[in-house]
Amino acid sequence: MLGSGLEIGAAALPHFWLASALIVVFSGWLGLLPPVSTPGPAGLVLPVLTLALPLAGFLGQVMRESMLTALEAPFVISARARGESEAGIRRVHVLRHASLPGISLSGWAFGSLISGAVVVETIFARPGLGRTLLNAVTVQDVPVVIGVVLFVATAYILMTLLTDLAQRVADPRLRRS
Amino acid sequence: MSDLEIQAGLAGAAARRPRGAGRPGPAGGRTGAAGRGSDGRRFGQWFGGQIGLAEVLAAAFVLFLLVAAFAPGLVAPGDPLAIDPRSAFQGPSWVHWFGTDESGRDVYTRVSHGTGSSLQIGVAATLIGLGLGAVLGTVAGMLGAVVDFTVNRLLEVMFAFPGLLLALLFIMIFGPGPATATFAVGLATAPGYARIIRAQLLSVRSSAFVEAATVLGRSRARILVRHILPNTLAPLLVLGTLGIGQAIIWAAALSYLGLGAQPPAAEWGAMLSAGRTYLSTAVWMSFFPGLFVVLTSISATVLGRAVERRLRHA
Repeated sequence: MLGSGLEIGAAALPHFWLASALIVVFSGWLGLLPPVSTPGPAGLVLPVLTLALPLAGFLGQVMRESMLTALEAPFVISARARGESEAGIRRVHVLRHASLPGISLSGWAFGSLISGAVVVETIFARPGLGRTLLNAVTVQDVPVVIGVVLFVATAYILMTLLTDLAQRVADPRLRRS
Repeated sequence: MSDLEIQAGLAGAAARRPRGAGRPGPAGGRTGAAGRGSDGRRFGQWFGGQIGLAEVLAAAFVLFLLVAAFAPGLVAPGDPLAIDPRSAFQGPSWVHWFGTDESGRDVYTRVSHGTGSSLQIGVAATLIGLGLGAVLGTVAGMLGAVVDFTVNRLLEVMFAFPGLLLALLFIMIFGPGPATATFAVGLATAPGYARIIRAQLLSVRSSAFVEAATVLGRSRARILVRHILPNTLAPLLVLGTLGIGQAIIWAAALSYLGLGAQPPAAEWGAMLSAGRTYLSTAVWMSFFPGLFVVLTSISATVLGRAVERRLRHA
């Protein structure tokens, strides 16, 4: 129950606000990490956390839903009837089944991460593709915008292809048909 | 991240639907992630299992937002643009609930007065997205294979661009501003809606009552208007409510990037953007506008899920 509250909270967190909160806590109060993205691993922590937390919340939601579906599936009942332990059932049968929607959404999640990168790179002053794109949009630099957008779209499509392949690996039913 | 919710809705709906019926209980089947606190469920039993504590809180917050949007003077009597340099950068206190900003403007007043424009952008963007999606989805679902093929390829092209990219492209062409940002968010969310509407339409079209109407010799237009559309459009209510929260986040993100409402305006994203400069000294300038964005989004999600449950068990 607590988990579902955390998940919905994490899924509703906008990057720009989460980033501000992380900067205030970790570089303002605790003074542990730099507020702007410096080269090196320390500068990566906050931007990565900003992008990862909402996504984790969202994928967690999806995963829990599919886990609950899988727990009521016939193959789980038959495993229980065979006397497998509850933990074993979850690990062997349910987890694989429940990870399928998560896998199929991860390609799409990659796209949302790129959207998020535009915001996050701006906040953390990280000179990446997202910020290049934003600057180009602001000054209406058409060739740069088109270049970045085409590049990202290609990467996104390739990513979608990869997740499709990963799904075939994870789900034997897809291989048969 | 708007298709996030939609995708979640899709994945969730696909995962949940078969299960809902088989699971009796006061909470009426398993529902979305919202409002399932343990006290929420007990509380909900008094209301026939439809309304929990989370829904009540969400509705109260939305009510506050509506008052703030239509009559901001009622919740915050001050002037959102009145500057008072002597009381700049004051932390939250009894006088200034949410503190003051760099010109001594009261942040609570500004957040309340900004509700109108922020909600307006969110709602308008959702309506544009839903409207475009409904037209595209209906056209694809009803006008035969050739149109369906064409619209589907068009949607696939739009899907190839992550949402914010589509919005940024639109803004590059038409220039930044609140109106463009609204249209951009609407456009970026449209393909997701179109796809769901088309799927819904196809499933309704093959149902028994449509077949019955066809056998009775009703015309195609009449079947579409009287039988198919009403059954397709009801889920749109849910999608729309869920979408508003995400649309508000998106619009705020665009304002934050300086592509939507511009700084002197008391819009949440613009206020966050202005507060970024003073993040280390005046946290409250960014915290409270952001909090409102988050609470609005959560409330919309909670209420959307409640409506969804209601529709499914009606």
